[in-house]
Amino acid sequence: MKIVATFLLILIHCAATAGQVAIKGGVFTPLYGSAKKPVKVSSFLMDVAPVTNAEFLKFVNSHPEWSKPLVSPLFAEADYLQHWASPTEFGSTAIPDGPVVNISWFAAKSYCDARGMRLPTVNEWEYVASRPIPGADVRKVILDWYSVPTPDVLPAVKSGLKNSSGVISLHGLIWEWTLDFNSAMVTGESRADGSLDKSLFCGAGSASAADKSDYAAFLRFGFRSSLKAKYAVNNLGFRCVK
Amino acid sequence: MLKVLMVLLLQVSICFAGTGPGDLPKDSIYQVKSKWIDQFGKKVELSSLAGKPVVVSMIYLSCTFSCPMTVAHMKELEKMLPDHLKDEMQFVLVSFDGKNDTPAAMKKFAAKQSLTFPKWRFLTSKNDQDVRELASLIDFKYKKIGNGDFEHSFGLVALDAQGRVLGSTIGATMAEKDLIPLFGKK
Repeated sequence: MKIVATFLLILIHCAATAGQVAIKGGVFTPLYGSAKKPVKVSSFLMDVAPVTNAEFLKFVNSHPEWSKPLVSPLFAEADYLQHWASPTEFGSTAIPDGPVVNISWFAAKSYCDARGMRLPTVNEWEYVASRPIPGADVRKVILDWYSVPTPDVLPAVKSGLKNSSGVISLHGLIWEWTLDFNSAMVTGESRADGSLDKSLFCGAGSASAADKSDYAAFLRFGFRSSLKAKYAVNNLGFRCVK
Repeated sequence: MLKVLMVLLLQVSICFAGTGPGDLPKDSIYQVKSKWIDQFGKKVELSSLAGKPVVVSMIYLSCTFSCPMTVAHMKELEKMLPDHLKDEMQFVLVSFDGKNDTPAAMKKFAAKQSLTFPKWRFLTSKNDQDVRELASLIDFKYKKIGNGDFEHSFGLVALDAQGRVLGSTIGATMAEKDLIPLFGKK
């Protein structure tokens, strides 16, 4: 029994350290916020790469309530996992090492929960995303990516660029869910927040942005604010942190 | 090694099967597995609200304007309810400031506002993901803006006895009184 317990401990330990990198906390100025002040980000561990189809399938097998036939329509819309040929097979439109997409926020949250982890906050994600990519211009990478359509079959998560923190494919592969993705939609006038916060898009609002030239970040904030937690989008995946 | 893993996986799936949502309909928000703390420090799950209709909203206690308004709107709604609903309605206030809104703080707030249990319930959680999950299910948005304050949605959400969303005043698309017919006639 003891041996099994030790084994399990080692297993859990390995799982916890193998796929993640330590991100040292620090201060950064988010693109958009009413305060426009630098925010503090505490140290955390981040998955090196986005969660793959194979990893998510394992989760579905052990948590059948997240399989396509069983998932509640409250937690995932009809396009959930639609790039898989069947509830348990990838078919020709998904490779095992490719990022899992068509995934709702609820499903992503549950996956991270089951691993003892959670989704990164917008600030955590943007903090790591602002790190340079050796040998490449981050903004150019992003804008180049935005200008091409999503391929029919997404490539392996580890095929992407690695930034100076050792995190792979933050840019240029997929969009990623964040814990508080929809908080940027909140406007000061609470009665008005049933609709999109237009200040995120129009010229007047951009005056409050920290870096007006970071067009890519504007797109990310705009995209996040257009999402609902049950949405499944063909180029939106996730990774976990703790 | 593989065997150990298999056993582990099996156990996990058995655990989940055992704590399944039971008879709740597929579109019930009570399917979430999050754990909450009430104003008495007791651990509760949302499914414990099942059986009676609910009016729910989210607040933070150190808020000076819109949160007392939320409570005021709930009290107004309570007065307007027909007799058969007045008795069974549960009013639930969920905090999105789990760091500061402890059971003790919630109890104090309840006493000050004369909100008595079990008709009025307070829920808090230190797990940001769980709070965000519930907020997403009822389309409530909030964001910390520093100085201990939050920007947030404003409004009440009506749930039926099985935790299905009937309607909401968030975004001012409906008035409080419009929620009453949604609960149905006796």
